[in-house]
Amino acid sequence: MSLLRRLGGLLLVAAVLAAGQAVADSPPDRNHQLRPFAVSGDFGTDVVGRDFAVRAVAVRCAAQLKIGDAIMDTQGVWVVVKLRLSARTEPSHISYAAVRDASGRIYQTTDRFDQLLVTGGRSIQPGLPVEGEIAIEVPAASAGDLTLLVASTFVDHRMDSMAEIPLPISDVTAVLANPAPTEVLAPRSAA
Amino acid sequence: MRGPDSLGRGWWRRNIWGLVAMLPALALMIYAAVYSDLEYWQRGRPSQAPSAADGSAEFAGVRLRLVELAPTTDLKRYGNAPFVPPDGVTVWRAVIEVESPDPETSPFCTILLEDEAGNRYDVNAEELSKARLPLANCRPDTEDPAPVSGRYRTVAHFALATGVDAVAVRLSFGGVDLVRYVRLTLRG
Amino acid sequence: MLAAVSVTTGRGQLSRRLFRGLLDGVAPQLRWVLIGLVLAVTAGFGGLETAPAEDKSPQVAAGVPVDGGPWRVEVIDVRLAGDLPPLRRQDDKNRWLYVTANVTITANESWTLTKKMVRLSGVEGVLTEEPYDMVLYRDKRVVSRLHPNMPEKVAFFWEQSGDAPVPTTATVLVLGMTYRADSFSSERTWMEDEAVRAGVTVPVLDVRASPGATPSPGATPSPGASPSPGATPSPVPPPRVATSARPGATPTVRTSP
Repeated sequence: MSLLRRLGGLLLVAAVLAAGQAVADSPPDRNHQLRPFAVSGDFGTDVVGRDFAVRAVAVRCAAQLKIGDAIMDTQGVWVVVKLRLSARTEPSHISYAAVRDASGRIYQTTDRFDQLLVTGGRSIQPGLPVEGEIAIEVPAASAGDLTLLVASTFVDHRMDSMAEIPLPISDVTAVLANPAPTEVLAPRSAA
Repeated sequence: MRGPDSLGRGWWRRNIWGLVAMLPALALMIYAAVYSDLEYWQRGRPSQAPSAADGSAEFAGVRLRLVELAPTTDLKRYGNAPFVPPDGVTVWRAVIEVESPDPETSPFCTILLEDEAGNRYDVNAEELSKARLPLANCRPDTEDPAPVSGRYRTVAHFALATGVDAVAVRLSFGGVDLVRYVRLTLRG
Repeated sequence: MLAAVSVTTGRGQLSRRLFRGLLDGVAPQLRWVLIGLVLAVTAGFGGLETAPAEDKSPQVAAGVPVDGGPWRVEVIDVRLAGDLPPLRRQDDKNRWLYVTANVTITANESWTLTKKMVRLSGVEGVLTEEPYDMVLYRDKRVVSRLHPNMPEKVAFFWEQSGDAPVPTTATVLVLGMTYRADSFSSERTWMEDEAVRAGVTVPVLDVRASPGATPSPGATPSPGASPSPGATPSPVPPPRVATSARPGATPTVRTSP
């Protein structure tokens, strides 16, 4: 009797442990739980995150960029997006901008030249929006289906808002056929 | 052990104090588990420290008083040319009087400006990056000439959209108190 | 039992006697059962298998792609140069050693910690373990970030002390990372596993006398601005070249494509 009860207790402990493990292992997994809060919105409209709002004002493609005197080419195509960024109730910085292609690959802004607008270098005060362009290089085949990602977080985007805006791009082949360097608009006050 | 013990008590009676003790133990366990997150959360949402009726405040070992909060236009660029803010931007100036028993050891502060809607602004506005501005940090060494008594002023500049009114400043002293700020208005 | 232990007994002696005493107190024969049990359990996880030989990272030839997890690196050659303005040496006697490689980001996302990819081995007097800088051949600029599925030819630079002998060969170690769950947070992420995925031993080409012999015509890497010596790598180091996209700069009139 006593042995049977001990065995029963042991089995109960094992069952509780197994149940706990099963709960811990069950989906959604940890990465999914901690994913950013995606705020989706249309191109041309304000998409509002926790501490910022972003509007993709315009998008175009280019085979080459003209940054100062330098001409920058790419093996793919440059996607140049004009953004209007605003802070909500307190000063904010945008520290992350990227595009995601149809296969889920994520291309961040290039660091071949300074892009302070989206690398945390530009402080945005409430009520004083900032406008400027960012440049991202992507493989030409990916350019047709891109979603812009913008966040105020730098590398740790867990459980904070991330704006997602689909980009309407259609001029890739024409641009590649006729490469002309394009300049990238510097950030400026849009108040 | 099953059934009543030698005193005739059943399982519940025998274990009553253990069961009661489980409640505070559970509370303590939960608090211990969330303590660090709670502290982190509090830091992100500092609370307001009390200020006196005349608008001044005793905080972080110094006495603070807002003596001026108004739009300003007489700013200079680094080359001494007049500074003109971008269109649609109004520069606000806040002057805070600091009274410290020992100005040498006065703590550094961070100053935010609050508008009528409760929005906050900091002193790092890019719109003012070309203006020559004093460091607004509540330290005496930014005052020129150096203060003779324990009373000195710290001056902060902010960029607001034209038409928005500022109502208060918030000062926090991260080196002294991470979870509270003091809010100063022109009159109490 | 404890009282019987003399204070002058050595520490190992004490613990051994304590352990044996405790064990024998519980069950005299349990010791052997426990040892057998530990062996049996560890054997279940491969405890009795032959241990792999220590640090025998495979050697591959130049031009062979090495998979490092989030990146694939194909070492091309190693060169030795003197002054490479505007890269600045700590001392004019010092030399630059640079590894030219084709790098492909195989991770899903743009990669910024690119200095973690390679190490230099078998060369005396190298001042830093990590490369000092990475230069993109495409426009001869110092960059940190490469993008998925967009292979680029890059050069990794190390500064070598002028007092050290001129190397004739060097081994480029391609490091790796593993995508796995963190033991504490159970979050899946790329983890440094300290493993060398492959070593590439190549002769060092001395191009100090012939500046024209740098990898491609006019390809002397020339980052836009003077890099700060000994700068520690950060997740996103500030890009070195800023021109029209500088804040406050007069917005440029763009030419439409």
